[in-house]
Amino acid sequence: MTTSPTAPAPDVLASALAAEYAAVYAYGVVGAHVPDDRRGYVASALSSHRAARDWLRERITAAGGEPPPAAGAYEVPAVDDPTAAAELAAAVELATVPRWSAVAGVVDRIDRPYCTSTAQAAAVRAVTWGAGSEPFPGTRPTASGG
Amino acid sequence: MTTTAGTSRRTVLALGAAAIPLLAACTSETGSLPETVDPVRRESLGDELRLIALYEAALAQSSELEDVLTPIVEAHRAHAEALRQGLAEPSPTPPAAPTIGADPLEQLRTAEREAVGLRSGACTRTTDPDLASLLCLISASEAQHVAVLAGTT
Repeated sequence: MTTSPTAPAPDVLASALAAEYAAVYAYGVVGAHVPDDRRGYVASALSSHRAARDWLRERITAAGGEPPPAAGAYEVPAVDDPTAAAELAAAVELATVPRWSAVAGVVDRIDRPYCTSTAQAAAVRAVTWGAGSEPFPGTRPTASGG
Repeated sequence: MTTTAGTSRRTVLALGAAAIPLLAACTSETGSLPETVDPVRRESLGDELRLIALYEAALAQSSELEDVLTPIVEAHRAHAEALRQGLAEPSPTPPAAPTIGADPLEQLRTAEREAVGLRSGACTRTTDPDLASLLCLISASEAQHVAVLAGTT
């Protein structure tokens, strides 16, 4: 069996794109509530999620699809202090990891390294924001439903 | 179960005919693995077993790091279990107990960094899309271990 040269499953890419849109939105909220010394880290995480979002949009377009647009707003828990901001950041990071693992299963093999490095970076940022390590990051049901 | 004996027999016959190509596929060539079992799965499982042995040796040497290392070794056991799912054959032989050096934490950090690289490479190499997804997820977990161990002194 060779990897399919045809279009990857669009719902898998769209699902990852939805998680990236949500992460970009959430980091806007997070950025407003973190201490000054975390601003740089937020900016770097935000830029990674924007790049991941654009990568997915390109792949969907290249496959002849129409990338779904971002929602105007995403439901996020109330954030009014750095602790809640860190929890939100960890949750949105973790939510992207299994989506990227699913993407790795549908794209051409040449695109898999991007999926692994993106999943790894998100999983590590979740730990930086205070999440514990997990055997299969982001697959454990959480109270917030993330 | 007393109902359609005739139908059952026909079903059995039909299944028997269908099973022939499957059996042929399994026993052809070397008579070992059917072609659908990717060697990448076996390699990755072997590597997870080596990591488990390394953590067990580190834990046996000192209980000081137990709180940090126990969840990590549990994660590797879960990885091994998930990789074993697709293997019809017995698991690779467990590795011999590794030697723990003067700086166990640094040794484990190095092992986890290597694991991330190996899992990433295996993800790209495998011809099995489901295994690619699993290896991607495992590589993310191992990247977390590197981060956790980096923050441990």
